[in-house]
Amino acid sequence: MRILKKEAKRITVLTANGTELVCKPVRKLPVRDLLFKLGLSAETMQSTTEQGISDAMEQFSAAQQIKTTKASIALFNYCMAYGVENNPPEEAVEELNALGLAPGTPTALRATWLNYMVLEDAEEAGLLAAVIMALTFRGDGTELEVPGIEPATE
Amino acid sequence: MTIYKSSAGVTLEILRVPRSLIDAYARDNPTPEPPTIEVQVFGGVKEKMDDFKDPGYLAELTIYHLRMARLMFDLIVQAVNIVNPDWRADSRIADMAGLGIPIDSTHDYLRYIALAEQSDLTYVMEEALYLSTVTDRGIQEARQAFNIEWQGIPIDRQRNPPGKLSASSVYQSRVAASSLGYIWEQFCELSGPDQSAIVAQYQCALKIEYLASEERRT
Repeated sequence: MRILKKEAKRITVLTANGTELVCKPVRKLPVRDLLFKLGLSAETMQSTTEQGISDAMEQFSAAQQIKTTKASIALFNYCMAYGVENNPPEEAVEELNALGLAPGTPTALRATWLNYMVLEDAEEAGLLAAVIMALTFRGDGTELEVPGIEPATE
Repeated sequence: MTIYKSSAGVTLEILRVPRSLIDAYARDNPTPEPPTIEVQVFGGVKEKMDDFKDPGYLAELTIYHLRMARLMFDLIVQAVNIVNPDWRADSRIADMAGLGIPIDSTHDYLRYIALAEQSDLTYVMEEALYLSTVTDRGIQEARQAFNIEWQGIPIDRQRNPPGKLSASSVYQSRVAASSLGYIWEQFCELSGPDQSAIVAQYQCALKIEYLASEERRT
């Protein structure tokens, strides 16, 4: 993923498959709540910091694993649905429909399109969510740096 | 009671929160303390200092702030009623459900839809606190209503006594309540503006006493 353009409230990125996406901030409060649900507790947050989330999740109870997974999916979907301006092209919607994957609302459709047809892997998905969250919480996109993403070349 | 329309187009009724809950929120959730480390100062002497950069402490602090924001939200929504629309019929609930965020209660509806903008939540919090407990705004309003002047000058513009004492606002409220003949439970049952007016009256009385004593001295 590469950053193409940085503005105060918008960042344009180019994904690995060549799709240009315009990112914008989302509402802070739902994101904060989902982050909290993702953290579950001080203990789990601490262990995820020290060991990495995959290792830490292996030690969770089944109930905790389900909660964490649900929260991470919801967080990703929320960021994609409200933090990306682009809508899926018609042919992508047709394809998703044919696969039985097109959800009923435009916001969920955008998240599904990005998840299944645009983003290459979990790492790229994480980076895009990180750009949106950084825009949301830091405010000024012109000064934004996200580790793992090539900066704008202009 | 205050009626407020949030930027999501939801009309809300803001009421009071029991003061005891507000006090418990602050009392029961102390800020995490940083660990201490030993550092060498002049002459090889070792001294213990707070380590504000400790990663464990920073992680704990992040969780603390998230938890406090969540608790504050839980506290404030007890004072909020949804007037319009019927939240169950709001189409945005389907949007959220499609993203894996089920909205099953008014609490979730307020968090994810009605009060999802920080500015809305800030307004509702400030208003609920104003209606429920002693606030700067309530004190200011009462002082303006009292309109007290000393030698032709408003007492707010007169100098304050040199302050050496520092205490929490709960302590000031307790002293103000008892000095004006209220038992604490009675005081807590009053509306926020009335509680603030009692504290303002107490502050003004002390200031007048101070100004009078200064005049007698000179």
